Amino acid sequence: MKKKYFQLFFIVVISIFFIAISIPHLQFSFGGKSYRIRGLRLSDLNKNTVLSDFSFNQSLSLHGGKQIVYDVDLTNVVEAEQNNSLQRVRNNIDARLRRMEIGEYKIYSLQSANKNQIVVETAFPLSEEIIQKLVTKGEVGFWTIDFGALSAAQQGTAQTDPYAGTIFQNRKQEDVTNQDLNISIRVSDAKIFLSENLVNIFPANELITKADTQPRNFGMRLFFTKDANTKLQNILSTNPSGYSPVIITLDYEPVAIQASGDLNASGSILLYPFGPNDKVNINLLAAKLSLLSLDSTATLSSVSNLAPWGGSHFYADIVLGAVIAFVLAQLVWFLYFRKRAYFGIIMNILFVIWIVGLLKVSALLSATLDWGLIVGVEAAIFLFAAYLALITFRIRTKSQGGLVKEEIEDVINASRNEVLYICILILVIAYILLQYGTFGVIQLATGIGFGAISALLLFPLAAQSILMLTLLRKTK
Amino acid sequence: MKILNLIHNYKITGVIAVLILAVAVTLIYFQGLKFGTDFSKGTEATFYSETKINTQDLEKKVKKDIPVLEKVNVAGNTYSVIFSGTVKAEDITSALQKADQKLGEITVFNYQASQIAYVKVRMMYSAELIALAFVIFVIFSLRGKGLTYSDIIALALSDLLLLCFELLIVFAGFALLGVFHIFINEMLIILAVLLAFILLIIKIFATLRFQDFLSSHEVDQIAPVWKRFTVADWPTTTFIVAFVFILLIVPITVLGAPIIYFIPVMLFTILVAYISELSFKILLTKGIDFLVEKIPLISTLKNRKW
Repeated sequence: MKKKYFQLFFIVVISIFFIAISIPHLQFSFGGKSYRIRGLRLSDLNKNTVLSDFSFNQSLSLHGGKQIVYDVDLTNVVEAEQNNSLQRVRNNIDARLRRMEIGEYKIYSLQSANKNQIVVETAFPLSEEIIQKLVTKGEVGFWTIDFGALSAAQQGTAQTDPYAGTIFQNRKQEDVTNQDLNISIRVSDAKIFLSENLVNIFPANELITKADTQPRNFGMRLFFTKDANTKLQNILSTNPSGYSPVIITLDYEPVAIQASGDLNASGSILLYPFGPNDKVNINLLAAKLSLLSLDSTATLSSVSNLAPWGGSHFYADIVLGAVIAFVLAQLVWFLYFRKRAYFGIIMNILFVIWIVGLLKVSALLSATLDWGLIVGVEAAIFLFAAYLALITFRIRTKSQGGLVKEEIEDVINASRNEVLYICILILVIAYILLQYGTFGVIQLATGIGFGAISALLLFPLAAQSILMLTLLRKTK
Repeated sequence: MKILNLIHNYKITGVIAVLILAVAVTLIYFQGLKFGTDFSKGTEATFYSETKINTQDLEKKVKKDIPVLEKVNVAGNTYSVIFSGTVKAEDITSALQKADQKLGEITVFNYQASQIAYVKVRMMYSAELIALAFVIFVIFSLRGKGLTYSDIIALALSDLLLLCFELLIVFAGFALLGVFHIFINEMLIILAVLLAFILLIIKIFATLRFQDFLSSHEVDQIAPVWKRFTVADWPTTTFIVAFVFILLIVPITVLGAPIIYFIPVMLFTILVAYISELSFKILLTKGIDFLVEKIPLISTLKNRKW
């Protein structure tokens, strides 16, 4: 019995935490006074936190967003090739957006007799800088120390260096193109810093300063293709002791430098990116280093606000609909099962709290709240309820005169493995949909997958305790 | 009770299922599936307006002349009217000007979204892999419950075929919606995946209930046992179907058009699944029994318990 109460206490504590983080931001007036209710935030726990909040990425369908229109210059492309060229530009920008992890977005091309446009719609609050950078060509450049020029400079026999006074002083551009690069990934690593001695080597500039000696949250790891491995080895050999790092440029703008902490990695280079150290910016840089450059020039034409897909009440309507449906379903449950209904109703409510709470926690990993996710959660609730119905039917066959402890244990033991197998099947289905689905289907799979995880956590912890709490009799 | 007797008569429900199958195939063959601009090429007309335009009104008026109008989007003061497929620029311009004479300069574009190329391939891969996972689950659940190899294979196969049949009805529903110029877009795909998931859960649920049923019933031939199970278990199945109606269809109804048009398809598919399960199970188990008896190489499967 002690174990049962401990489990119940644990479930209640976790559920209260999940409720606290799941409460939406509500503002209302009563008696002339304005009141505000909001859920728990991480900043309430620790003011110096660097983590994001328990809030989802917003979605186009529920929240609306921005429509960004780019003009694509295809004047240098023959007319018969223009459509293909436009689709290539769109596909490249699509690949960049996908790697930026901004949640839901849409991209499409528009082509008329005299206009070629790419339209991006996203709910993610992209900065003006990112909106501009998204469509730059992305031609990569590798700048290594030119030892010949350096020794000539030391001997005073050097010709005039066009880059004197900049970070490119005494450097030359290597013969590396986008095609030599395989992939660049964002990494979070304590090795992403520049040593103090290294910073001092560069002439005074705005890009590399003393502040860069502190480790950053995010960096990039760059891998070359197999065919270009010799080029990579040559580049790595120009920085044997860490004081002549390679500088990476995109469209002749410096974007990253070889980090100090990881010189001996074979097959890749750890990069310290310049500019804002946020995830989206680093992801965009990594995307450009992973992809071919754009073969046409695109320029920003306009940025406008987009209304939610289903109108301004879409989000409120779907949440209200889901709540009404859930309450009605519990009512049907009660009418059908009567006394045995309490077990199912309590479990259903706990399941909803846990799945919403777990999804809120996942918001830390930039999960997006959209219509597909809500539908997925609804499907998971149905799955869990269907299984609880099965258990309740099993109880019915034994419940004449009340259930004794052994009978409850029989039912739970018979069901425990089943829950595991069903959850594994659901997780497999969710994984398949995650691999092959479009964005909406992926969101639906996320909802279903989180449902399976919630059921896996909740069922072993709560089912037996709540059955005993609601149906246990000492004797028949 | 007459209706119940009808539902539990596998010959009648079998004939109904075959008729529905014939209608579904005919509908898909002749009408085809009409994909919206999320998944196929389209045409977009854009115009700028300082004064606010009633988009629903505009949509209604333009739809009279060009029924393939899919949606009207508003971004700031720019309005985009999106049509499925290729529509002539002059037709669009004249329909828009007829609907509202004050509209400014209208530019017509060819519209092409990015996810067209892979969606059909992805759908096929997902469906095949999920079907495989489901069959493994059914076999795994029924193994060791006193059933023979041929019984288990027949039950798993009938579940799979039933699922294919139900998906065919969903596609026929899509084809029917296409007649009314409601195109398959991402929203409808999500709902279709949701429906397939619900049907899958109902089948998992039936398998587990049958598993419980087997523990208290002798199995001689699988077909009559399944019939006894269906007759005995109808209140449970009805409860689950009612539960799914409330839990999933109420929120979708609240959202209104255009998603609401999919609700009849959902209801019809679940209903057909409900009434045709028995006939699929019985006919297929009998068919497999017949095959196993006739082919000496696999005849041992009929008597060997799995």
